[in-house]
Amino acid sequence: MNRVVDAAQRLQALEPNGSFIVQAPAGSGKTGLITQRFLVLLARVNSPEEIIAITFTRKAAAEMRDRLLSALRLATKPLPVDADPYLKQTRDLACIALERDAELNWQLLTNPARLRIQTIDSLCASLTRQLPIMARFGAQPAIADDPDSLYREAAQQTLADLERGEAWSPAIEHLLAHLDNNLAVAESMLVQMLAKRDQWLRHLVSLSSEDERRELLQLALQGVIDATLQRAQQLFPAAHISELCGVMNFAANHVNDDHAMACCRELSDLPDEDVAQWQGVIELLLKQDGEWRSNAKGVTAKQGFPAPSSTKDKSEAQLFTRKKTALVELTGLLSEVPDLQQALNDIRSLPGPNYSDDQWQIVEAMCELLLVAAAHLRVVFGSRGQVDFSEIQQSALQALGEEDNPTDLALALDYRIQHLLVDEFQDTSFGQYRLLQRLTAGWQRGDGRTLFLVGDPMQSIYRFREAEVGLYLRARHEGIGEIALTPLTLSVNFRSKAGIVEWVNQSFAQVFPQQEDATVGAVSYSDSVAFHDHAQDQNGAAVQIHAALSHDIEGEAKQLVQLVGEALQQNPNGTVAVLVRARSHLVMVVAALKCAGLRYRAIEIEALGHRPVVQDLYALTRALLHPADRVAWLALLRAPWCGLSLADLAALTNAPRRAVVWELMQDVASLSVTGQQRLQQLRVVLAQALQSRGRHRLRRWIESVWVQLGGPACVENATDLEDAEVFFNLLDKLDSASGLDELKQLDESLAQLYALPDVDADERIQVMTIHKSKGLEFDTVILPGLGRKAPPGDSPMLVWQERWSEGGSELLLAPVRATGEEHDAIYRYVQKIAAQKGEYETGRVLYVAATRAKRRLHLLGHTTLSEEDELREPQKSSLLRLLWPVVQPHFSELQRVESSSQPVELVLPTAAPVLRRLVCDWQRPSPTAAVTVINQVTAGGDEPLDPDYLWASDSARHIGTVVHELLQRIGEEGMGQWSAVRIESLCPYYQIALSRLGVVIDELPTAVLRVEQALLQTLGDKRGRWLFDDSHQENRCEYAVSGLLNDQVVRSVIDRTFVDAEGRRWIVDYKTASHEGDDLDNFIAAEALRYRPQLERYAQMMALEDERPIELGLYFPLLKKWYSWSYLSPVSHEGG
Amino acid sequence: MSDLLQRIASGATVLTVNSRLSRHLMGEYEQWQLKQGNTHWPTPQIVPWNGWVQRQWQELAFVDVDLPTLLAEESALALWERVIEASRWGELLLNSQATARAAMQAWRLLRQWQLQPAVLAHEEGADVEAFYAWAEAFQKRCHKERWLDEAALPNQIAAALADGKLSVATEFLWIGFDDLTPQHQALMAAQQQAGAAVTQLDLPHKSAQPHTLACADSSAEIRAIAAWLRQLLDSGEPGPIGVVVPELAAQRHNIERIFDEALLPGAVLDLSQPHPKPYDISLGYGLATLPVVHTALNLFALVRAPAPLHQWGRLLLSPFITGGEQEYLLRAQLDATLRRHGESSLTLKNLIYQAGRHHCPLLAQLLKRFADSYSALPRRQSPAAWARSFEQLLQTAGWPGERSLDSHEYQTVEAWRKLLLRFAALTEVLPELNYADALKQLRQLAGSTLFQPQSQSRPIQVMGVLEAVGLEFAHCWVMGLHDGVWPPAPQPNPFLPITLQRSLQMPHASAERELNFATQVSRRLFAAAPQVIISYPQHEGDSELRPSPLIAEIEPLSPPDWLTQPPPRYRNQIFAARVLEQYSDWQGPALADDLPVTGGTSIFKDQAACPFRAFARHRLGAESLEEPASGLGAAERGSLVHKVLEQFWKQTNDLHSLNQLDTEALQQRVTEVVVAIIAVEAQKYPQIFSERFAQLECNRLIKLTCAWLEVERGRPTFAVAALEAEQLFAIGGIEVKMKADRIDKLASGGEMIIDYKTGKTSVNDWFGERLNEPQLPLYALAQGHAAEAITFASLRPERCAFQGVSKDEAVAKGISQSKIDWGVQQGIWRDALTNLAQEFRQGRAVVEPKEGAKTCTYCDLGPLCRINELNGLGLAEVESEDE
Ligand code: SF4
Repeated sequence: MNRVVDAAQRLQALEPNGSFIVQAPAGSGKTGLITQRFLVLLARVNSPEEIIAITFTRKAAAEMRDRLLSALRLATKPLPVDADPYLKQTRDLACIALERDAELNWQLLTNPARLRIQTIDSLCASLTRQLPIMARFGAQPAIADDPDSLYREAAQQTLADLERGEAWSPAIEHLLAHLDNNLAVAESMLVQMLAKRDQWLRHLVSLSSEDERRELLQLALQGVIDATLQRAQQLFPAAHISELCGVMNFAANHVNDDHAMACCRELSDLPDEDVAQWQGVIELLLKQDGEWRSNAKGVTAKQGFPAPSSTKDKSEAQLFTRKKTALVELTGLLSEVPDLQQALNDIRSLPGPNYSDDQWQIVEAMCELLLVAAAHLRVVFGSRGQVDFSEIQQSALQALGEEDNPTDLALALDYRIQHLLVDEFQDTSFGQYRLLQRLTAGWQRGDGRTLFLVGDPMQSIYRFREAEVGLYLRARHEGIGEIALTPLTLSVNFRSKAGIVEWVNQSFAQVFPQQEDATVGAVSYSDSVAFHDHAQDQNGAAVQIHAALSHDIEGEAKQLVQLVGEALQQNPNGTVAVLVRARSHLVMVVAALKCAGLRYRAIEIEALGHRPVVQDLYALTRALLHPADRVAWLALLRAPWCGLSLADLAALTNAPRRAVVWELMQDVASLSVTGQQRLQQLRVVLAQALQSRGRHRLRRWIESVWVQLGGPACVENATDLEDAEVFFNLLDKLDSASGLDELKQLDESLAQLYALPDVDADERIQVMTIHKSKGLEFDTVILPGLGRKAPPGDSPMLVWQERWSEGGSELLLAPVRATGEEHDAIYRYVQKIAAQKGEYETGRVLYVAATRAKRRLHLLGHTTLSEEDELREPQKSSLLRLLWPVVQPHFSELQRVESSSQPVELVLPTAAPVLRRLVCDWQRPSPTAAVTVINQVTAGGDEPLDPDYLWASDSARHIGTVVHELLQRIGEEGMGQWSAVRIESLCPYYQIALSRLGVVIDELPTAVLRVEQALLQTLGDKRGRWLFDDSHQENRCEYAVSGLLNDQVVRSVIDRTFVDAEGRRWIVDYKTASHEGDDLDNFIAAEALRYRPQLERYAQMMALEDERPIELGLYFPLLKKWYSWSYLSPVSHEGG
Repeated sequence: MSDLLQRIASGATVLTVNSRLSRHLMGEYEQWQLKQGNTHWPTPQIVPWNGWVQRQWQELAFVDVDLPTLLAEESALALWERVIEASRWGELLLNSQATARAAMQAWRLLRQWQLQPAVLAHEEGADVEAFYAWAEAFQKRCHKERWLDEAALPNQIAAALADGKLSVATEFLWIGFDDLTPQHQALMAAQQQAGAAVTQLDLPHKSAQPHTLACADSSAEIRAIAAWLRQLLDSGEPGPIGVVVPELAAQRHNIERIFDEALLPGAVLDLSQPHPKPYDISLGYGLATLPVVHTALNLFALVRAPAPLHQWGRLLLSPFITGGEQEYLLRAQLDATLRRHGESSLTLKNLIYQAGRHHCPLLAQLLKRFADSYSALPRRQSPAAWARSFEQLLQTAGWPGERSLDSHEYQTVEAWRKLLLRFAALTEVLPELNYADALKQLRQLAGSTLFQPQSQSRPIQVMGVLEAVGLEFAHCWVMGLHDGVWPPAPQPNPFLPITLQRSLQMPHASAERELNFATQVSRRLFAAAPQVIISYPQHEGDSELRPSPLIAEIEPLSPPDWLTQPPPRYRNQIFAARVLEQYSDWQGPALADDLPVTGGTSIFKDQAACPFRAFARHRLGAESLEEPASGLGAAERGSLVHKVLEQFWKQTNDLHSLNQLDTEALQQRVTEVVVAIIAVEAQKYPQIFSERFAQLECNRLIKLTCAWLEVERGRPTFAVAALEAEQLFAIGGIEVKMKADRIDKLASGGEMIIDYKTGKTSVNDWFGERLNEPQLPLYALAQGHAAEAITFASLRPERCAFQGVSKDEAVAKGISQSKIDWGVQQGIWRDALTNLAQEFRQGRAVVEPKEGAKTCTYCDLGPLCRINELNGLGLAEVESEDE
């Protein structure tokens, strides 16, 4: 060993012109292989963007990018002396790739974004972004955080069409009647369907009429039947056909005409497409429970085998016996044929080839509504500017064009995709598969473009995310589109010790089905070879089975704790993982670990919303958002920061009138003294909080109250503080104008989050689900609860199945069951297939779990004994059941030994009904002081906002602006250039200027008049003429000047300043205020008061410029008024 | 630098790439002036180049009144949108406004590169083809209406300059342009032609000492920056300090929060006022997301059609309308009442009515006024007129409320008014709109408008990369430079041929260009202060990130004290100071004798399921807000059946009368009853009982009722003795009000008590210490000896049947004789129920869900009973039993 036995395959995978599909079992180092191939391809392309590597998750993309970049960087350094052959080979490839890089000046190492390694979602997004028209987006929409709410909206709108007299309103009516007029049920059904529309929409959109739909959907039914019959035909051994016919003809002639076998009286060969005949055959061969008729006792006249005793005729009696024996012999032989029994049973559960009219009516109504709902959804997407991933994917598909007329991507992307590498191909969905087909449409053999698919069908465990392992199998046989794929299988396992690899080989060859079958996702086992030797350091077997003969969850948990302890003892640096299939299987395990004082790292195990800290925050949020949310308010009072007793709560709420709790809290006389104390502080904080509602972001609002109440002091440990942080981040994300659109959103988002792992955890001990562990490895893996059932599945209202067929896939759609009715055959069939797929996947889940182990694997499981003390098989749907053939001996042995050496004594805590709260006189520590900002001579501030700006109506303000502008022009050009005629002629200009400023159209005429009037009056006014007299010195208009005032640099713009003949500096501001009424002088005085500080500031500024006496003036052109005063420089002004 | 400043002082006009650089140079200049010992000086001309262009346009308008109308950005956008919608692609696209935005972007590029749409005429590809068509249409329309789009403005100015129509300064300095587009170049040439000296100045390049720092994630980065800032400010650093953030929009809230926490730790304790902050973030808030504006837009949306309750709820609780403070609590209760009522949507009219009934007169008045003004609006009018109408509508609602506005809100209201003006300006391109379209436009405008509250200048400036170009700081930190964002990935404009973009080196066109650009910017950025720290996150979610290759060569920062020993976080200080006590409190006060008990039989049910639940519900009145779903809820559906049967049996007293009716007559009677009842219900739930829905509901009820009556027909003779009869019953010291659905007199003379059920039922629920369904046993006790049978009448579409137990046999199909003596059974019930009653009376409130997690599944009291804290682990054991 220590030899890479599959080296040849690995080498072949680097063949740059070949397309491959690689099976890479656990621990076979596939990322390394993809990296190498990427390097090989880099050396041959014209730009790195021509290679696209697709990964399953963003995390995986980041990892692969990292691998690739490290590999490239390898080439820039000398090879380390201890490099293994793989490293050396990688470096060699990287060197060649970098040569290419240098040759074409790619600068990959400084521009790594050029390496296209991405998830399928991000690939789709980049396609739709570059092909906005083909994708029918127009512009890239955002991805909705909460697509469910969009589906819901679309579903509601669809159902609201009930009253709108649309063509499809009758369909809604039909559906509602079918569903017992339960709108909510109909709505949730549509919501679910919309979420999965990538699976059905495609099949339905292309069909315009009801007839077409019926035909197509029935075609799928027929397809199922054909395929099932075919499979039985193929499996049935030709050698036994004549025997079958012999027995059949006999039996068929001995049954009534209405018997299932009656139609088989003349059978001379296997039935062809006649389902009824097949049913007859099956009736003959299989019992009702689906088992072979292998016991002569059970074969009776009912099946066409009259008892020999029923006849007096001896030879007839002999014949009867013979035939009976023949049947039993036949079934005996047939039972040896793998999968035949299953195939025959499948026929039994086949639905008919057509929908009944009743069925069709509802199917048709559904189809119609689904299409309508999809259209509504599109509108909702549009109006929100948000879509879901599925929409992006479908649009990407659309953008790629028809299969026979693919879009020229080179135009849109600037490069041609030459090579596609796909990782985790076993978890491909139909949608992704189609995308690959479309991306490679038009590829020709040998045109240099290649496809490289990598995955491990044995590790396909994402059925709940639409993964279809059958697609992998299919691709391996048929290739994708025109591209044939050379299958390669890796077998070396670099991860696990030989003992584990061998056990896995031996066990899973039995757990996995013998025969591959793409339709039900049956994957057969492929052997691995360990790279590492048998470990020397191991005490005992690498794989240990801990059998139990009763369902003792507690006992198992204790045993597990002991195993964890032992593992850490034997290998203090090693990791130990506890992997389970369902989180609910962890309750006792986790309690036991805690009780033993082990601080483990639990990854996505505990619901965040169940953490007391989060629950309190949740109540606080609800309470603050809604004073009438009584549960939340009461919870708020009972949370640890207040801890009001039940007695006080009862006293508080014991009011005649039904008032909200906050109101009740205002009168606390009936409470105990401590109760009053406890409420006091809370009341102060909440009063301020309620007063400031809508003034802070939701997060800040809630967090502030929490901190003020001493929330951080109410938690158990530091992890809780982090969990609180997660909650706050969620609030921030959901924040809609400082509130929540719907509380439901918070609930739903919360339900999807998990508490963070213990921040002080012992990193060596990890607890997670098997799904979460995929791709990871641990020194020791412990699998508890193998004897436990799977958590119950659901039975959806509407089921369908996407089936492979010639030239694509088809949709098998079961009618919705009417409320109160039974499910029909189609539904049952679809569910049966789903169940079967599920069962196969369960085996793979177990494989994933077992192959996480490097050194040691512990399996813990139980079964029970029957009344007669016989070993029962483990429960249906348990993982142990799958392993039973392998592990049964361990249980049998246990039964014999009946050893009961109890492991360590651990007393698990029973829920102690104790709560915690802050002590009554607790004081919050005070915070660190805020930073002090040193005041310096700060650079530039413009003048504070003109008070005018805030008070005048918009038009008036804009009139002022235009008048100022014109007065500036007058001042600059000199009064001489201006006449009333010129001012009048400029009216069109005033209009343009005013409307540019935002004066509303219908106010324009008056505004223009105003401007004109102001200017004319200035021109006609003596004061006005004086203001703009050319004979002044230092004439300046809109004079922009900066200076240091009171240690601040101030920038001012002075309307008008000049020095008159007496040497006085004038500083004048124009005010275009208008005024109606007779107290004009008062008005002017008031205005003067308002603007005085501003003008004095100007004066201060100008005083810096020269020593002249300064006069200040306000000029009101519309009022023909003038107000002036002399500026008295403040004594303290010296030095400024 | 001082050379530059000298030239500015001598009167050169400076044109900068953006306004931030203008401000910066202005500041530099002022410091320089002060350093020269000057106390005042003419304010120099330092303006962003596009501002200058605008200003020239004004000048031009003065000399030449016959200019085309300049379209504001939003008008141009609206025009693009129209053009796209009218095109053959319009129907297909998801969102024409977003498309318009993208198209406008492409258009701007064309303009900047001085290209005519005609260059696209022979290009292939659906995207370019569409854009070409739009561009042509847009141009044609502009031409026809004499509109000028902003992107073309610089060209116009250049032309005017060249024609000598404008007089300009003698010297121009162009500063901060890393990229000069052909449009810029043309403008510069025109300035020269007009006689000015034009120079493009590269900002002086200073040498600096950059260092890199790896942080766990972006929050850790921001925390590190905060610690750094704290240390700088504490040591008296006056600034300016720059913090440069490539993904500013995504990080904005985090930055604000973490900075506040570190720099103003006490601010978290005070919600009453905005705190003056030592930093300034160069990114506004979306106007539509600000609460005041949200309320306004919400009001406009709600007035139209029935709207979902949660949307009304937000209005009801808004402080920004009349009575928002005075009626705050009452409105909250009104909302709760509406939710309890069961309809998921509501019309304005209905709400006015409900507000009046539920003690919210101010609300009722304001909504009434609002509805009146709304209905007085014309169907179609110009955006300018709509702007005024919107203002008026707001006025009638008392917006922005009776609370005095804080400065932030005040500025928001100002921004809102400016927004309305911009909206009014759409009149140019959209002469008339109906209400819905006007509102849509307004929303879109609000959605895309950023609002930046004004602030005094602050020592810390937080900004994006492009804004930082050319600025200098005393200290600078650049965060977030991982290789995913720096150099940025190319994003060529999809509407222009990619080869064209690449060959003309348009922004984002190719990887090469982005690398060059990033390298250039980096060089400046990393020298923006004597000391620059460049950080990057190592993780984002669960993926790992790498440093940008452009910082790979820079020396890492050796961790200084402020990083290794940051000041403690306040929440951790509080946590450390915690003093908790344990207490046990599962016993409420016993019930006072004189207090009536409300809640009826559900007290028993709750007490049996979980004593705490009974205490919380019936003693504390704990109730959550309902979240009504679409259509009728399960409870309403059940209650309809009850009502129908009640009515039916009122008319049909016994088996005999029932049997008198043949199928047809029966059907008819049921139909009459159902129709009458639905008519009444439709009044109560106008939204739910739309015409066809009501019809469907009638059909459902008729079908179900008839099916049920067939079951009744199969019974031995009986007569209805009581229907929904109320009675008081005392047990275990409490007195409850009960209402049996129906009591029949049997042939034996005894009574059978019937409870209609439309959900799942099981007879087992009547047995055991803590019975799941205590209702019928309670009735049985109340009836005393007369009660000879109790039964569920299970009315479900799949099956209608009795499920009950009786004293004697053969009472009816589905009713079996009690296994133990009837009298004994009654005794058992009495004991169990007395026990529950006493528990309740005594205030027993332990958290004891009868079947553990299962009992809690549909209970909303979790936060109150603190079950999860008691359990210690929030996991529910789902499957436990074997075989
Ligand atoms: S959540 Fe469970 S424990 Fe709490 S009150 Fe409800 S039923 Fe009782």
